[in-house]
Amino acid sequence: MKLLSSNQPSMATTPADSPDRSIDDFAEQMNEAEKNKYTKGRKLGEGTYANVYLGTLKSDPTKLVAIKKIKIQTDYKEGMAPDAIRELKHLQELSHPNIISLLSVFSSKDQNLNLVLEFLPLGDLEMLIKDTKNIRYGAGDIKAWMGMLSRGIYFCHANFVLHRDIKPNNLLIADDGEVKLADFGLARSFADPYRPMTSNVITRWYRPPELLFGTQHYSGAVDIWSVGLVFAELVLRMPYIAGDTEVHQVNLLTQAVGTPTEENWPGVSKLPAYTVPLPHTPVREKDYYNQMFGTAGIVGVDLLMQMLVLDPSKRITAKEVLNHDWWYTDPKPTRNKNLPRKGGGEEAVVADLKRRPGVVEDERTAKIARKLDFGNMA
Amino acid sequence: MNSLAMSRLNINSKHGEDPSNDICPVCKSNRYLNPSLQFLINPECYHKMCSTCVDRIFTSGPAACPVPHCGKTLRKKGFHKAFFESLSIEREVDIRRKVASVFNRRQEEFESLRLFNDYLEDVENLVFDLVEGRGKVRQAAEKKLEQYRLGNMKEIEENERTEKEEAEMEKLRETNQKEAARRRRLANQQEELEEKAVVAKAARDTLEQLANDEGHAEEITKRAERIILKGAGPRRRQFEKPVEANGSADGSLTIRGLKKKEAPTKDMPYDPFGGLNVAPTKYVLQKDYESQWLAGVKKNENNHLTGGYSLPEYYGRAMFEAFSGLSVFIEDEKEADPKQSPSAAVATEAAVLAVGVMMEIDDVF
Amino acid sequence: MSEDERYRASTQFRLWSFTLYALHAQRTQTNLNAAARVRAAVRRVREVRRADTPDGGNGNVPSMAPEAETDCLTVEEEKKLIAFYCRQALDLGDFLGLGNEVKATAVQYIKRFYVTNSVMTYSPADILKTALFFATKTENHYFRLTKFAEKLPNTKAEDILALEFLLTQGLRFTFDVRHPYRALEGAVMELLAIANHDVPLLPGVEGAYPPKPHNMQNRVFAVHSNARQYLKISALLTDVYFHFTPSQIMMASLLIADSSLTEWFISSKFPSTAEAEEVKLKILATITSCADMLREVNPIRSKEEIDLERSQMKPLGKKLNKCRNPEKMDLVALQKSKREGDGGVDEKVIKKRKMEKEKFAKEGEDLFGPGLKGS
Repeated sequence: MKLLSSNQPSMATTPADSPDRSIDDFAEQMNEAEKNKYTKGRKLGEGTYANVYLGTLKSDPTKLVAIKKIKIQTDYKEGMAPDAIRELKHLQELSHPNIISLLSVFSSKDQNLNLVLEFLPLGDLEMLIKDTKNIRYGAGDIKAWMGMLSRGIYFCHANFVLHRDIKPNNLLIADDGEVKLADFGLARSFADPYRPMTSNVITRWYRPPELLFGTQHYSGAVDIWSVGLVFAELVLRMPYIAGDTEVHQVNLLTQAVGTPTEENWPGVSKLPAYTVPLPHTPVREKDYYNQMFGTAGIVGVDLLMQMLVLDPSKRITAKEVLNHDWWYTDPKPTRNKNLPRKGGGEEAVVADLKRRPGVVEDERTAKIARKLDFGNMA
Repeated sequence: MNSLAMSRLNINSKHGEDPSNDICPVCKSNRYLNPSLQFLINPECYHKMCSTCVDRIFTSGPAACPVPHCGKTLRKKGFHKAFFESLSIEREVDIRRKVASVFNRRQEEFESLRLFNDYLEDVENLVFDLVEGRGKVRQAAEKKLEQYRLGNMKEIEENERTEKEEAEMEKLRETNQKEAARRRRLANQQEELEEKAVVAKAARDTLEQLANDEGHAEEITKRAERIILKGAGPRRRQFEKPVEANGSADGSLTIRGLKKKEAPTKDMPYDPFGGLNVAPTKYVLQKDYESQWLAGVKKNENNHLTGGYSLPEYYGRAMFEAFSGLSVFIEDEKEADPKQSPSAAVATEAAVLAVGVMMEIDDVF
Repeated sequence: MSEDERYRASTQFRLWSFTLYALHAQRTQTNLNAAARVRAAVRRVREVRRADTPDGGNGNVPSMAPEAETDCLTVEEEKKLIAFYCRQALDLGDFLGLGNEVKATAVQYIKRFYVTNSVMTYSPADILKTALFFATKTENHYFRLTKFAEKLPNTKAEDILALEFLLTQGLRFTFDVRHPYRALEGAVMELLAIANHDVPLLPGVEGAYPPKPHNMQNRVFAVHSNARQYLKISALLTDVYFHFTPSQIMMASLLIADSSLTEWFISSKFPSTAEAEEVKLKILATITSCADMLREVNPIRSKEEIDLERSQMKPLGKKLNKCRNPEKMDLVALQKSKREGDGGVDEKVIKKRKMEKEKFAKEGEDLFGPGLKGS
C-alpha cells in the first residue's frame, strides 16, 4: 500500500480497496511497525494490573525483553490511569544505567498499552535481603548496591524527577548485577513554587516524617529518606521502621531516629498532620547508630545518619551523597560480577513487573500507601 | 628463521668452503698458522676480525673500524663471537631480537586472530625495512621502532613481565614434573621391593604352614595368593595420589593467571558518579536569587519550606532550562540524520517519512 | 553532559523536532492521505445508502455533498483551523481555571496530534477537549472527568474518553512537553543577579566583565512581562516548538522585548575565541528566525483582528463539516469496537448514533458553539 506523493493529489488508491479499514491511520501504522519489532513469547505471569510476557527482538532473538501489557482497569473511570501515565512520561525521558530502560511502547489491537522493558532476570533487592538462609553479603556488597541506588536517584533528581516510591522491592537486578530503579508509577516532576503535591506517596515504611505530617510542599529529600531506610535494611536484613499504620509509623520513627520538635526542625509543629507521642525521644547520636549498624563502618554510619536527618532542609542531597567519603574508604564496593545473586528470579521479576505501580497486592496492604485517590492526586 | 630469511640465505655456502673462515680480513693471519683463530664481530657494522686484532686495536679504547670505507667507532666491549656463520644472518637475528623486545604484543591482546596476524605482518614489514632498507628507508624504520618503543613503554614492560613470568612458571612446572617423576620412580622401586618381600614372606609362610599342617594345602595356597594380590592393590592406588598432589603445581599456575587478569581492572578507581557530570557550563548557580514572586515561599507561607521544599532545586532547574538546548540547531541536526534517534522510543518511521520519501507500508492483511 | 546534550535526550527533541521542510512534508502526506480516505469512505457510505434506498436518493443528511467529489481541505486550511482550535483550547482552559502549564501542554498535544492525523479524520473540536483533560493528568493538575464534562456544553464524559487512547497513540506515548516558562524565570533571575550583584557569567571565568547595559534592572523587569506574553500565546499558536528548543524560544521572546539587552546577554555567555564566536552568531541567527516566527501571532489582538479571524474561519468550518470522514464520526462506538475487538459494530447502531451526531453537528454548525456556561 503506497502512500500518496505530493505530486498526485487526486489519486484514488488502494486504501479504498483494502477490506479492513481499521488500520489506516498513519499513527496506527507506525504503531504496527513498532509492535512488529518484537516477538511476544510466553507469558511470564499474570496479574490484575498487567500481564508480563517474555519477548525478543525480531532482529536479534538473543536480546530478551519483558513486555508488560497493561490491562484496562474497569474500576478507574477516568481513562488512562495516572500510574501508567507517569511510568510512560518519565521512563521515556530518563536514560541511565541505574534506571530501568523503556525500550518501546505500542498498543495492541484491543487498545491495551504494551511497555517493552529491559529484561531483568535476577529479581529485586528485597529478595536478596530476605533470603538470610542462602545469601550472605558484606560491607563491600552493601556499598556497591548503595552506590548504584544513589546514582539512579541522583540522575532522577538531576532531571527534576521525584521517584516517590523507593524501596528494596523496586530495585531490580540485571543480568550483570547492576541495580536498576524501577516502578515510576508514583513519580512526578519537581513542583514549581506554590504548587501543592500530595503527601500520600511512598510506601509507609520508607516514608519520611514530612510526608507523614502531611506537607504539600517538599523536595528530593523525601527520596533520600527512603534511600537511607534501604541502607538500614541492607545492614539489618529487616525493615528498620515498619509501622502498621501511619500513627504507628510516626511512633516507631521517633524511637528510631528521634522526635521531631521545633528545636530540631523549626516549623514542624505547624504541619497539618503533626502529632508526636510523648515523651519525646532525643535525636539518636552516632554511638547508637554505630552499635546498630556496625557493618557499615563509622564512615558509612555518618552517611546513614545524614540521610535520616529529620528536618528535610538539613538532610543530605543526592549529589552530596555521591560526594561522601564512604565510597572511598575500605572495603571497596564489590565488582558487579562478584555480587551475590539470587538463583533464577524469573517468577520474582514477573511479580515485580505485573504489580501495579504505586499499589501493592493485598497481603502487603499493611505497609503500602493507601489506595490512591486519583481525583485528588497531584 | 622464517621463509624470508631462508630465501635470502645462501644455502649453497658450506662451512669450510668460504675462505673468509680461515683468514682474518684485517691482519691476514690464517688458520694454518694460527689454529686457534677465533673471529669476533661488532654489531655496529658486523665486520669480522680475529680476536688478536680486536685486542690490538681496541684494548686502549674506542677506535675506528679497520675495514676500509667503514671507519665506525667501535668499542672492545661490543665484540662477540658470531652465532651464525653468515654475518648477514647474524645481523638480521640481532635486528629481530631488538624488534621483538619492542613489538612484544600477544595474541590475547587482539580481538581476533586476523587482527593479530595483521599486526605480525606489520612487524615483519618493519623488520624487512630495517634489514634490507638503505638510507632513508632504514632511517624511517628505525625512527618508527623508537617511536613505538617510547609510546608503549608500559605495555612493553608488562608484556615482558608476562613473558618472564610464563617462562618462570614453565620452569617451575618442569621442575615439579621432574620431581614428580623422580618420586614416582622411587616409589615404584620401593613398591617393587616391598612386593617382592611380601611374596617372599608369603611363600615362606606357606611353606611353613604346609610343612606344619598337611591337611589344608589348597586352602593355604589360595589364601597365600589372596594375600599377595591384596598386598599389591592398595599401594597401587596410593600411587595416583602423588600425581594429583603435583597437580597443585598446576593449581599454582592458575592462581597466578587469575591475579594477572584482575590487576588491570583494579587499577580503575571507583567513581561514585559513574562518569556522570552534569555541572553547568553556561552559568554559575547562585545560592539565592532575588524574586518578588518567590517572596511568599521565602517567608515560609503555608509551611512551604518546612516540608523541605527546596528553592535551590527550583533555581537549578530554571537556570538549566534557560540554557538547555541553546546551541542545539534543529534545522541542521534533523536534516543530517533522517532516521531519528537510535535510542529508545517509538521513532523511526516518522523520520523516514519526514524526509518526504514515499513509504511502503505493508498492508497488514 | 552539557546542558545541550541533556536536551538531546528528551523525546521533545528526538521525536517532535523537525526541519521546516520535514514538518511541511509530513503534514502534506497526512492531509493527502486523509483526503483519499474521506473520498473512499464517502463512496462506501453512498453505496450502502443506495442499497438501502432503492429510489437512489441522496439520503437526508445535509452535510453530505451531492454525488460530486468531496471538496477536501488543503494543508494550509488545516493549519488555520488547528491554530483556531488551539486558541479555543486556551480559552476553554482559562474558563476551567487550568494552570498555565496544563493549557500549554494541551495545545502542544493538539499540534502534535495533527502532525500525523488530519482534522478531516478527527474533529479538532472534540480532540481539544480530550487534550485538555489528558493534560490535567500529565501535568498533575487532576480534574474529575465528570466535573470536566459537566462544565463543557454538549459534552458527555464518554466522548472525551473515547478519543483518549487515540490521542495517546498519536502522541506516540510521549507525554513530556518542555515549555519555556521556567527558562524565562531563570533568565530573568540571572539577569537581575548580574545587574545587582555582579555574579560570574561563566563557570571558571573570573575577572573583568563586559560593561553592563545601562538601566539594566528596570529593563529586566520590563522584559519579563513582555516576553511572557509571547510565550503564553504566540509560542503556542505558531510552530516554534517543532523547530526550536525551549531555551531558544525563550531567548527569542526576550529578543522581541528588548533586543540589545538580549544580544548583550548572549554575547556575555561566550568567551572571545573564534570558535565561540561562530556558535554565538549561529545562536543569534537562530533566535532571530524564531522571533520572526513568534511575531506571526500577536499576543494581544485588536478587535479587528479577532473579527477578521472569525470571518475567515466561518467558511473553513463549513468546508470541514462537508469533508469529515463519515466513518470516523462516531468515536464512542469506534473506540468500543476496537476495545472489544469486534470486526465492526452493528450497522443499525452506527446509523442511529450517526443521526444523533449529525443532529448535534447541525446545531453546532456555528463553529463557535453555543455560549459557554456561565460566560
